[in-house]
Amino acid sequence: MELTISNLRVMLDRRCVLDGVDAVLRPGRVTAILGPNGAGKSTLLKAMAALLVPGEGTVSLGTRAVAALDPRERARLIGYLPQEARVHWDLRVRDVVALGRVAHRSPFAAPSHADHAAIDAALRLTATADFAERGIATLSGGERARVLLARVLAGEPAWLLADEPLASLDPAHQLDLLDQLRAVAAVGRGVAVVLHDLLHAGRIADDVLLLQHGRVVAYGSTAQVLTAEMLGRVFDIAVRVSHDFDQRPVCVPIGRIGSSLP
Amino acid sequence: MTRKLALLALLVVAAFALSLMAGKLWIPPAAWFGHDANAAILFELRLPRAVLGLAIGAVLGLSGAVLQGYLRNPLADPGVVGVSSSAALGAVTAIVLGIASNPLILFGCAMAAAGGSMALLAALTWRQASAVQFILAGTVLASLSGALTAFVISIAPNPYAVAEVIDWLMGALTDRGMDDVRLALPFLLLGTVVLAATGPSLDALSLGEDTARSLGIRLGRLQALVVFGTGLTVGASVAVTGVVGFVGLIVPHLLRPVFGARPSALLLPSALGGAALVLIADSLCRLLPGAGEVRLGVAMALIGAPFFLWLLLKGRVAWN
Repeated sequence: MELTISNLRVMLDRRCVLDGVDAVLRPGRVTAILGPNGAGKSTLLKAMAALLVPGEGTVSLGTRAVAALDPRERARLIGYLPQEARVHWDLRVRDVVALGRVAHRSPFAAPSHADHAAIDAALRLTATADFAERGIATLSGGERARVLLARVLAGEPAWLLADEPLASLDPAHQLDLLDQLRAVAAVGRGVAVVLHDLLHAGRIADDVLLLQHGRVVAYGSTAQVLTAEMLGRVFDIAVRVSHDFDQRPVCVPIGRIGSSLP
Repeated sequence: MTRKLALLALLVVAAFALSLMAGKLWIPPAAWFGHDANAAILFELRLPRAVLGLAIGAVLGLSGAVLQGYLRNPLADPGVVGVSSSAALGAVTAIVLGIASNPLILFGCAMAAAGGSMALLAALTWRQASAVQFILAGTVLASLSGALTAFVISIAPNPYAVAEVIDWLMGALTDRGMDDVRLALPFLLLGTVVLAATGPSLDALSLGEDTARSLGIRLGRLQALVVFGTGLTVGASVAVTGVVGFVGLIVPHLLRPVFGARPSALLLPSALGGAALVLIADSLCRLLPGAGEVRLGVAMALIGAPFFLWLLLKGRVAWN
């Protein structure tokens, strides 16, 4: 199912955060949402998850507006991983991951066979099965981030929306997580991920949606959007873009435009 | 888990039995079913008191666990949302107006005030079903009720009314009869069902409000359940016993290390733990030597505050 964003306008505290965003995100691909701080990336992701009410415009999944879906049905279709997610109590890791399944069964029913299978698969995929019985408070920041990814994967959503999921991970686990997101897209599901790191975006994304001041500056395939000219204009930096062996763009920021530093 | 629950249930049974036995006159189980004067004390005085202690302890423990889960804050208890103090305001007003000699009217006034304040709380927070709004509005309502209570006491027509108010405010199970049980029980039961229904949503809420909503949890509906359930249970319990604090605060803390921190897994244990705590504390009140009786609310605070401090110093209270 395509995720269609049409003429989306969002006001927060009378400030226009998103100003007429149009895009059609395709399943089976990883779409990276990029842009400078304050461009409206997280707001766009929240609007896609129907967590805020847009002033104008709609987000639709297939033919249906996400805002009009029954919340539980929406939860089965769209998985949302917020930025800097925290867990308020010292829950067992397995119980945290199991929360990804709450919309799949009636509130007081015991987890089904399918629930257990999905939880186990998510634990395996994120390499968190080893500490499934531990309390989440005993984990490092990176381990916790993987558990929270497992939580959203356990829901087996048609669309996975992740807000800056790499922040607290070391390089090895960043690469793992990028692979996991690719794996989700590879089975035909949709992935939209807010990223800050241009290198990561070049490595993982099939499509890039570039935001600036709440508007779409560019949206297209990674090779089309991640050009030195475009990135220089939007981020105000000098970027060297080369291509690696599978023709993916490798974007290395080398300096701020107008800066006297080399 | 099941074994721990069974042990806790056993503790409640033992505490209930203790509550039947304990008093100025010790009535051992062997004398429970004889046909002597003991039977009158047992069935007219001790049984309703024990039933009330059981029910009130259970709802206070349960509502404390629900509120801590809902607000994701280990400091939350029914006191912070203003139910207890507004119910107390209703009861105090009835006493000062001199219409409290009919227990039905006292109960009605307390419930009406609790209901009114919960409605106000819901109205203040429904636009944005967030925990911070809820706790701020609840705190304001609690202090407003407290101020109004002080105001009502200050305009009391005679010192007897003031004495009666202070006596009542301290919270006790003394001299409560089956009429009180019959009055409160429907509200307590309905409220318990409402509160128990929040469990799965509270679990999801431990991932934060945005994530909970993305998991299909209706936060507005959850908040309505919390407000309604707390209003019914705590309102009714304050209406028959006065303010008994600390139970809702310390019981979930005590049980979290034993039953785990998952909010839904803590609800039933907290209800059982609250029942045991109130029954035991009330029995101790009766067993203490002296002409009068220590008030349950006072005893709870005297036991609760140092105990909580001890938990805090030992680092057993998790802040996050």
